[in-house]
Amino acid sequence: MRAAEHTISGYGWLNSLYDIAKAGIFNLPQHNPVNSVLLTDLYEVLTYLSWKNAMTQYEKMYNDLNKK
Amino acid sequence: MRTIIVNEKEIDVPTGWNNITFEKFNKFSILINSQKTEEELIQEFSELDEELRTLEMSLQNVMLNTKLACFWTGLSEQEISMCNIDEVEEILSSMDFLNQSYAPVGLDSFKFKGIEYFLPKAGMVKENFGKFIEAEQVEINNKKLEKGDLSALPKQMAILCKRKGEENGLINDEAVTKRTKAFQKIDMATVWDVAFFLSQQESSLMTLSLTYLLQEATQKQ
Repeated sequence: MRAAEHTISGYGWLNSLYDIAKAGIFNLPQHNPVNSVLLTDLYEVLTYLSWKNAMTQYEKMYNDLNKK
Repeated sequence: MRTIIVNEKEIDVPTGWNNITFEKFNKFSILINSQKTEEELIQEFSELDEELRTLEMSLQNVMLNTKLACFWTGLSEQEISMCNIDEVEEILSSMDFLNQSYAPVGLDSFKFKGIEYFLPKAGMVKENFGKFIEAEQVEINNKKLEKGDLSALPKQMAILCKRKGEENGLINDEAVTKRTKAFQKIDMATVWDVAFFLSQQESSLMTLSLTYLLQEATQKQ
């Protein structure tokens, strides 16, 4: 937890914001991808982050199993 | 407020948190933090014999009380030094509330200069991600508060508290700056109440987001 806290203190929230903006799934008409993320409902973005997290975990497990 | 006669002048002395503006309290806080602590003074006078050390410590205490009396009354050090010691003691004892811990009141909104400002809903439900990021940044700024720096408080309030009908749009930096400046005049009772609520909200949201970032960082390794 402390490591994550240090990352935020050092870099703020730009990394997470740009990562989500790059995915483009919250793009709104008449807004650039970054502003679109900023305008999206908090819990919609948190749900996406949780899903992304679960997917990465699943892919890692899948790759580990295939290596055996 | 309580009116005390000092050197034949009527002086209004605050007797509660709602009598002090944020601006005044922040200056007071800076003044207090600029003073040496008791431990620092003991260290400084450690080479003196006990009698001299006690005298030096008493002198430092009188000097601090004089500064505080000047600060709250607006009188000069010269004027304060001409005062009866009981009058100075009366001023300082009237402000004893500063040494007591404040019991915050639960608020949904507060009024300032006739305008009502609403605090975010519990869990920041209905807020957008942009507000969340700003709130997290405010939490980072909050760490300054642990060092006694209160300057982040009006900005936190300016970012997170909305007037009726205000949309959840992108953060308007110009409006936040303007409101931060205006909130310097807000009374400290309101500031403590809002700050208490916001710190509770921020604490739960920060834990949530830190957990996510920690998982993400672990998986990238």
